[in-house]
Amino acid sequence: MDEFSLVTAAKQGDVESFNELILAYQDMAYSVAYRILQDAHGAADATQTAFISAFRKLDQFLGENFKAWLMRIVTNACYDELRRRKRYPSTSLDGMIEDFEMDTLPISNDDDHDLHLMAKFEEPESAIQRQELQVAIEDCMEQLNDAYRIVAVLVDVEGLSYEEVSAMTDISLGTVKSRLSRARARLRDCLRGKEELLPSQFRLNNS
Amino acid sequence: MNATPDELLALSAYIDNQLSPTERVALEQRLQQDTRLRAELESLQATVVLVRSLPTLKAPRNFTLDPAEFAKSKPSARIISLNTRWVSRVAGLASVAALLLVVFAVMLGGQADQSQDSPASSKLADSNVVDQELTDQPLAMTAVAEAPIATNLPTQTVTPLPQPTASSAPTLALASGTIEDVTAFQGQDGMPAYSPPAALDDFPDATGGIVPPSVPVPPGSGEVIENPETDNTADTEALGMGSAVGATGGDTDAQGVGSGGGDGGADGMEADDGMSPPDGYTEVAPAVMPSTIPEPQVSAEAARSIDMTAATEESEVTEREGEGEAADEAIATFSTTNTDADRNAADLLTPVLEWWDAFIEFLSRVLFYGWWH
Repeated sequence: MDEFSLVTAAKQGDVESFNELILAYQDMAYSVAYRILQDAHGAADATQTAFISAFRKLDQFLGENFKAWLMRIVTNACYDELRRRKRYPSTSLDGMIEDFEMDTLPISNDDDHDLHLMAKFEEPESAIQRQELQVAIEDCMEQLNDAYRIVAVLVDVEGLSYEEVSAMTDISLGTVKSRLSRARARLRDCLRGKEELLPSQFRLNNS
Repeated sequence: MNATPDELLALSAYIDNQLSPTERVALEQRLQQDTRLRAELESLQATVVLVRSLPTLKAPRNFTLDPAEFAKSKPSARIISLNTRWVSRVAGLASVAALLLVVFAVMLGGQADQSQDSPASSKLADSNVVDQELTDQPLAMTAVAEAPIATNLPTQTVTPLPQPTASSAPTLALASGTIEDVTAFQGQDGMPAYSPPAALDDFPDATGGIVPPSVPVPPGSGEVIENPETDNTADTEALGMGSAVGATGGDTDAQGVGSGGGDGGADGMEADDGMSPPDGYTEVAPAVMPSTIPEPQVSAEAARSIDMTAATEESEVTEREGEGEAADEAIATFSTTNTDADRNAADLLTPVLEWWDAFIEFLSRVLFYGWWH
């Protein structure tokens, strides 16, 4: 069944159809939640909350772009969690990295990602190198403030369009563009501090 | 050295091909002349490539929803569990019918005149008196009275079929009828297989010695508290059965799980928060692990059978209290949430079934009292 049929069936209360949609989007939803929240357990909770919420609110979906609509609910769940954490801060950096290393398994990249880059790392020492690089990038992502990180995750990691991100975060297209440009500049500056981890062709020397 | 915000904006949009044709041409002309700007672009492009190299993470588990909990139409599992309960009810009816026959036989033999006048009214009067006496009985005395029956026929409780019939010996019919009624009563309340704290507090003496510890969990009850985290369809269906058992009597399953959360000391702070569901749920599940069930559940049955009237009122009160919060609690614990359609159907049946179960229980106890004394 195509997505439209699944959504239509799910709107009429067919949980199995909705579950197919969940299976199609759960990696993306969890991935976004993880990168926004920087914590595996919080990300799983937010993802589950978002899917339940989405199912209950399905009649509010008017049939434009299900992925964007769903990811909007996911990001909202993450916003809620971020707000909650500001009220009750209790996370540690070490715990997050450990969470990341233990709980998250990369899956094969899809069209949104740079397959060439990944291929370059598939050499004897590549696993460690790649993991170090990944941790370095994640670390820089984490240092971004929430507003910048969310845009960077949605556009650069998940490959969503500016329009989709604007719709799902309720910020204007212009703000998406400017936040993204600042996020990229800050990420670059952060990664410059970790140059030893970067492959030579990706050195960020400002020469 | 660093680019201005406007330059950054243009370069970033250029990377994503988001500039208008005129903006793009203008920027490309500048890039050809300005090495600083070109280096800026290259470093940003490299950054974007690195960020895009981050893999989409794999979800640590499936986040699919349990159809039994979220379906707007009734799943078939619900009907199956309903049948099980009806078997209990029919069994109760058969037991009571057998008892009535015995009692009438005794009454007709011993008090022919009275029974000719108005057997029903005289019996009713007796019943009231007996009931009054019964509720005034000291707890220990009633418990002793109940004990032999429960221990006589432990296997009867496992069997959901209507074992006792009119042809059975009176004691057999009485005992199994009582026990099965209790089972049905418990199922109707939608109580999971652990006991409500209130019932335990009210009847601390009843916890030990009344029913053998081997008394099994009633069919379906154990499944109610099964971990709702479902990774595959089989789990989902199993859970659906269990949930439906709890749901059949009304909306009380939400209440049951909610109190389970209380028992387990679930994270209260998080439960108040909008983000609570997963936390609340994961805390609840261990609190009602099946291994801890049998004894408390048995004592709950005992407690209920000792003072059935009080138990009924108590459960009705909690049920109504729970109803207002049922929806929220169900969400907060990922527990079963019936849809409106379910609720309406259940609401129609529930009072009748409650009344019937209570009636059978009452009759069994009254008649049993007469038999015992």
